[in-house]
Amino acid sequence: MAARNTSAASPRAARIDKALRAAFRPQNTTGGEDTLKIRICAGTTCNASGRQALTDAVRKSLDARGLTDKVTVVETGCHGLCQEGPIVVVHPRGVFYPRLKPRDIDAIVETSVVGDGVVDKLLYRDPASGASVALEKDIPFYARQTRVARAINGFIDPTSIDDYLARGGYSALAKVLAAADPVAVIDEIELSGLRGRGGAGFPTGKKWRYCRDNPGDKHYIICNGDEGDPGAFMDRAVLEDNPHSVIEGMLIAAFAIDADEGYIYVRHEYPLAVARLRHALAEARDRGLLGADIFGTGWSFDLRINQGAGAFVCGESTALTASIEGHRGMPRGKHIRTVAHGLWQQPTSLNNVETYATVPWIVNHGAKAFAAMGTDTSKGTKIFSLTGKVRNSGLVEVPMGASLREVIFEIGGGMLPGREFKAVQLGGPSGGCLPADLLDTPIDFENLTAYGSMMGSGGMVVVDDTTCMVDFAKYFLKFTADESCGKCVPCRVGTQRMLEILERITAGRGTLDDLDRLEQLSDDVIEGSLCQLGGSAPNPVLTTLRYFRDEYVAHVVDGRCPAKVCRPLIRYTVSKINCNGCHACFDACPTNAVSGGRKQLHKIDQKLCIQCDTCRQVCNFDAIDVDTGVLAVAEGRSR
Amino acid sequence: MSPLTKTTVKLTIDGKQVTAKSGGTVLSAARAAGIDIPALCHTEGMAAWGACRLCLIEVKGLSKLQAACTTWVADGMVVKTSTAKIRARRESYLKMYLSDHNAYCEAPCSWACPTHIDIPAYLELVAAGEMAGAAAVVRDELPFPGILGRVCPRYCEPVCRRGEVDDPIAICALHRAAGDHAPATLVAGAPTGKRIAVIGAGPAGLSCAWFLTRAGHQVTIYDTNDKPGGMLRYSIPEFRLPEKTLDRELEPLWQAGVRFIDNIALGDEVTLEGLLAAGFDAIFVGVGAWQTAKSRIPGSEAVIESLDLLRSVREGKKVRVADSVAVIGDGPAALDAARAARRLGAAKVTVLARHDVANIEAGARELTAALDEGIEFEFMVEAKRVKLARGGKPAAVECARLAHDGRKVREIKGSRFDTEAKTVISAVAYVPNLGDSGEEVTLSAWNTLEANYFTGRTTTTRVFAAGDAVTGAKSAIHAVAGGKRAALAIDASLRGVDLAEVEAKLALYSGLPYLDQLRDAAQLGPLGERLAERFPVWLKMGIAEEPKKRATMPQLAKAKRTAVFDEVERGLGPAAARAEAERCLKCVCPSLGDCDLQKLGVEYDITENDLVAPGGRVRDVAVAHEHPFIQRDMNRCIACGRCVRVCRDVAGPACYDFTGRGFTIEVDTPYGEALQLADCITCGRCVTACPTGALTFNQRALQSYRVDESRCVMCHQCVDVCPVDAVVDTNVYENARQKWLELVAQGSKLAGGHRMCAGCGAPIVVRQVLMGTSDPVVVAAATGCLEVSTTIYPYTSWTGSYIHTAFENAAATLSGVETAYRSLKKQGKLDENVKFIAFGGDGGTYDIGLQSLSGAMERGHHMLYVCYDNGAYMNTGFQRSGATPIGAWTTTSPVGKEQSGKIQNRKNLTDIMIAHGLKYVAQASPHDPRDLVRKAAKALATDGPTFLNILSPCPRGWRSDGAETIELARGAVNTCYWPLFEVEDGEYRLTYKPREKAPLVPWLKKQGRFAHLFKGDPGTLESLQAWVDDEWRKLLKKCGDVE
Repeated sequence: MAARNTSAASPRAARIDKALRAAFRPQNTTGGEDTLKIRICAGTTCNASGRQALTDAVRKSLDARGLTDKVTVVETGCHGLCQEGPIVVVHPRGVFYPRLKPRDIDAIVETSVVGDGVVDKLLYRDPASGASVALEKDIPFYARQTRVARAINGFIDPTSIDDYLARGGYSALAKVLAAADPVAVIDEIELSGLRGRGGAGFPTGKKWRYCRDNPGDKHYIICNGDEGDPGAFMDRAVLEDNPHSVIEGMLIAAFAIDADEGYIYVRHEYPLAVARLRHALAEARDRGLLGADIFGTGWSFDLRINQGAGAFVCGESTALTASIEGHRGMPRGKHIRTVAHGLWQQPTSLNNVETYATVPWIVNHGAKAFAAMGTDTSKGTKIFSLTGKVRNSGLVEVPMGASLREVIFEIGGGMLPGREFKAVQLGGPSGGCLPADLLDTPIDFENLTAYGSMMGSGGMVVVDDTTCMVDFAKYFLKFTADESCGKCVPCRVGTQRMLEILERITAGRGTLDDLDRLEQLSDDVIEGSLCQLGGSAPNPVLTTLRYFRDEYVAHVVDGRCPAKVCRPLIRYTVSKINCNGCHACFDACPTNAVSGGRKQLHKIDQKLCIQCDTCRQVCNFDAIDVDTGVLAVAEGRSR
Repeated sequence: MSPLTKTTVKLTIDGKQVTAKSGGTVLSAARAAGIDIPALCHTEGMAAWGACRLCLIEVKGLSKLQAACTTWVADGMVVKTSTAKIRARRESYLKMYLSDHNAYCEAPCSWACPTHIDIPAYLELVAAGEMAGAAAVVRDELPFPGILGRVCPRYCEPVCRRGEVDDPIAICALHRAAGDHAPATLVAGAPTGKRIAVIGAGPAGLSCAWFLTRAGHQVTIYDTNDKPGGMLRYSIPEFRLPEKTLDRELEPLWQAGVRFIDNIALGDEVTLEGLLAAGFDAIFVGVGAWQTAKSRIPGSEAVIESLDLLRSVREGKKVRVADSVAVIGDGPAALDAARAARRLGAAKVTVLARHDVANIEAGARELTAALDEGIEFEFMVEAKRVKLARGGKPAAVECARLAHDGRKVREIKGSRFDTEAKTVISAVAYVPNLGDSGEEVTLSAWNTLEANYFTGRTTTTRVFAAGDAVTGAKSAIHAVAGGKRAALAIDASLRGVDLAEVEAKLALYSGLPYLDQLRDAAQLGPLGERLAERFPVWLKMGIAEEPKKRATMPQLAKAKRTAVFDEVERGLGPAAARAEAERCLKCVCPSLGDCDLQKLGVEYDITENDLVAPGGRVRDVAVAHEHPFIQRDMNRCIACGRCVRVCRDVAGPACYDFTGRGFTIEVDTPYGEALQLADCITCGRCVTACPTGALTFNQRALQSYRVDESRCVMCHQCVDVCPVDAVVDTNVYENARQKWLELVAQGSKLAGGHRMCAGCGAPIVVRQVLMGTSDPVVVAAATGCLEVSTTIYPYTSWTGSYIHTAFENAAATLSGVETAYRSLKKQGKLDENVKFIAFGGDGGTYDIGLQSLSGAMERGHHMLYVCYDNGAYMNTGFQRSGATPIGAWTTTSPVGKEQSGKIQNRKNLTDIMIAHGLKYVAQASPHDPRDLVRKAAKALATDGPTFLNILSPCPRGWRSDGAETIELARGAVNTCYWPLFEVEDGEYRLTYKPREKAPLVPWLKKQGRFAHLFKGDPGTLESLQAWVDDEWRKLLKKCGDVE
């Protein structure tokens, strides 16, 4: 039960144990996985793909069969396999049904809830073998993960503190408070080798120790949930799926560094996470787990939520602090350290959502168990958000040291049919692109940095042969250039000038000198930028230049975009052989560039064509050809 | 270690042992030790900002460069501040700064001009239509703009920055225009009792005489000719420089008391010694170079000297030339002679030029003029022999073709040919003929006088010289410049200044590097500064300027040119001159020499900008002049944040902060309002803190000040800051200010939560109008955006009485309501004072509602009609209205092959309403709430019908950014598209006059409805601008305002 690790050794411990038991209301839990229940994923992705209708259908179906009281329906946080949403899992067996429509529900209730069979046609199919897999635990995506931070996420109801308490929630806090030795907590975290999950990978225990040792009027603790990387949603998921794990982690950290006030800084664009957090904070306060006199120990700590206004740079610790203080979110030089003079000039410890979510696990299972996972320098597990042109996009938690191949091909299910792996962009807009021959690289902080990429917050965008690497680098650089706060000149002007060069190259107006200029500018921007936004912004450019230089050369020398993406360099024509004059492209073309009567060969007027790709997409006969290269461009239109 | 611990640490900076306070930064330590580390964002005494990335240093043991302003000193630290690695980085970052610094440092024109006229200053005056002021600025440095404006080779124009956009400004033609339109006057200075003899009445002597007279000395000019002018008169023909002009330009000299003694040659009747003995305090020798280098080719005895020819022509002597003429030489005199020969009847004139077409001595301007007159050229030839016919007259000139062979010019073998010529004119070279004067002067190897470059002092005491006599044949402008310098020097020496010392100082100074010159300029003193020839360095940055055609000089009809000696170039008229002067980029920076960025740019030798390629983004914003003392030019801003911090942390008001992000970051006031509205206390700290020319003090051009009521925001600052109590507080303003604050506090009669689009101008207009009274109001609204969006059933945003009527009869309906009110009041059933306001959009006012509006106004109801003019029928899908401007796209004035937006101009509704004889009619704009509210209050207080036409930008229909609404309204007013004025009982009054009438283009570019105007034919654009110009001119006239 709840207070697993507390012992009645001291009166204080006994008091805490009692308080923890008092906080738990078993009648409010949704029950374990061994009970009869239907687990519906209510993560953001499944919500977007029709979860509400599904829940309604489930309830209606149960009601029709008079099962409402017998079967628990629980809307959980994200299950991780977002690609297959909306997802329903039927317990106690754990039968997994992906991509459901409300009309499928009756069959499932009839077969798997009332009966004990499975609806085979609705089951998950292994992309490799095509065989159906009935149970959730047998699906490779889940089977191959090691879940620490997300151990119970997706199983519990995120709006129920009792679900969390039932699975040992807040017992780590109780253990820490019972021992009443903050330094021992720091020692434990330091021993575990936990490094910050926000990207920089600074040892968490060390940060706490510095913060604790720095004198100040008071100490602050901040949780950084300003996850802004395109393609990253780990923190959002953790906050949405299990807000209490973050709150408990923060409580432990606060106790360790002697803070009595904390902030959770969340993006305004994460409304669900904010709502869940608000709810969780209210619940925790209500149960005496947060606020004044926690567990009756006399120790008080409270948290407040601060919503960011959408600036990427506010994920940088000093900019984030400035933003909380009500200033413009601009980073400052690192000569004044946050652990000494952070929020309101007081010693402040700032960690990422995932870092905090990992802390209770370490306290409960011990530093050694955590340190047993991972590599020499990077311990434990890491959550990645796998997106892009991969079969199973979603959230993946693996031990540090797992290879990219494992994550992308084994858990992620590999590439989409007929496509070839080209690169993976790691660590968000300021990470780097790694090519196929680095797929066996074990993922850890040092390794990724060595290859020009970085861990970042754990975004992993997979691209295939239909992506132009120059265009890809341009996309990320555009993001960072737009999101630069503008304080220091290398980032403000340097990234803009780099972007202009990339725009030139993708428009076919680049020169070979431009490649050198890009490298020089990258170097200047990295060396001189005030914070890591600028310091890493050129990474996508540098890594694509390093691993995909031939694509750049093709653009500038041949005027060719090998992936046929860069519009000024491609030309759409109608294949004389395949076109049967069906008129689909004629009707779809937004600029009326297609001519030709029904059942006659169509023709595309190059002067009118805007390379929007619509004709190719609507053609059912593969009759639209895309060429690239000097000839393609020279004919028809001027650049 | 805490920064407060009072211990010291020892560190090494650039090999120097430095002791510094612990807790300080390396930057402070280095500066205290006299080691300069460049830093643009750092302000001593304030917290480190760490953003400029120029104070980078190498710290031993750290691989990455560190910013000195954010690195604490530590014991035993070893720091290097200027290694190759550091300098390379700084260079890169400076390039980045400069690529985003859309501005220049110096105006190259003024420096290229030998007389250093303040060209940007006079161009600004010409652009403002102040010809007399412009001429005065020019004559400060160049006394004879009417002469030089005709004959100057224009050293200023090839370097003009405008040339990087399209063509250089016609600087020369403009100072000619200034000279022609503003007659010269020369006011003699307070008499000094000194007498100076000037020998030679050429450009050098005349210029010297001018400046000496201005300084109060008595000048006597001696010349060998009958009339003054020298080469100007005797070698430049009438068709280039009319005698009338020459006499007119010189007249002020004689008026001011300068004496001219003709037909006296130096060494003949007068000697230097004799003059000095006769009591002259100093002598200026400007005798020019009149001697022709004798042609030595065979047959040259039959050749006419060009100077003789030109002189004879000028003196009206009969000169005959044969049918075919050859001119040897390609200088100005050769071309003048050739053109004169054409006018004297020669059918075929060939110029035998030693240079190729691009390099002929006379320059492209003269070459074009000659070619236009049918003169033929043989380029790269040398005359070898004049072949004589029987009787010794020329028959032909034998020439050889020349070719460059890398270093030298050589004759091409076997290339000899004959050019037929029965008259041959030689114009080879002129040299001074001082050798014959018998004077005790030092001559150079080229037979020129030796004189100091800066002061004109010769080896003979009290004798000065300049012009061709010193330099050899050069252009008139050089002679004028030399004469001026000598005059300044003579004046100084007569006042006891030791010229030898000045010369030594100047020689030393001109040997200094540029940056040192900038720094040391002040030590030269006023005289030294004027005589110094500091060659400037120009930083060349990105330009975002619309091309605009250069003015073309009106010329005499081609057919007439070769027939008469009338002047060929007729000069620019006032309007053309203004338009041309407006092209000036004003590329001179107010912070020149005081700019850290410029200093670093020069130090790191970055004068070109290769980082921003064509099409790259550069800042391009208008200069903000609103504040009376602080001028903001954000094109020069480098976002260092010094002003932001100094204003917030030191001064207190926090007028500035950053807006935008990344490349679009800008320093601005809150909500982008005028600086004086942002709590500015005019302390000037921001200007002092600014490392570039982004924030500068306004140059006070006026001698006295007058409060412009239309701009005054009653901030009280002028009263507070005036050190001599010259500004009186009348309480009128303070009362008005209090009233305004009360008004704002009242809240609005139009509640929020209405459904108008984001960025719509109309609700802003309505709110401001409603602030014009505290009485209850009855509002009638014609069908339109405002009506549909504020009264969506069952809700209403109107807190008072409101009536919606049909599209066409808001005025009629309200007039009925008003009549009923008057009746009730008369019957004693009501005693409240109620105001009546009708709101209509374009359709409800300009078009379908016009008849009911006209009727209501004519019947004299006590009501205010407000048109929120958004330029089309916006809520029904952007159809054109009578208010739509020409060229604007709407769905019923589409853009295509046949038409390019609306083809008619906007209806002038305000004028129509004025014609109704209303007591009060005004135009207003929501960007100036004080003005708008004042007008609304005035209108509502008027007994009788009143009308307000208020511009209301519509982001949807204008295809503009919703956040730009207020800026667009401001733009409409500043471009004079939407002038702010009021008419009371038929009396027009301009309530706001833009300091500078802004061009339409940038304003139009912000509006998608005009996007097509920038793609094809510029005709519509021009006619829109012309319409605006015309309307503005007419309005100014009506307001009794001179342009």
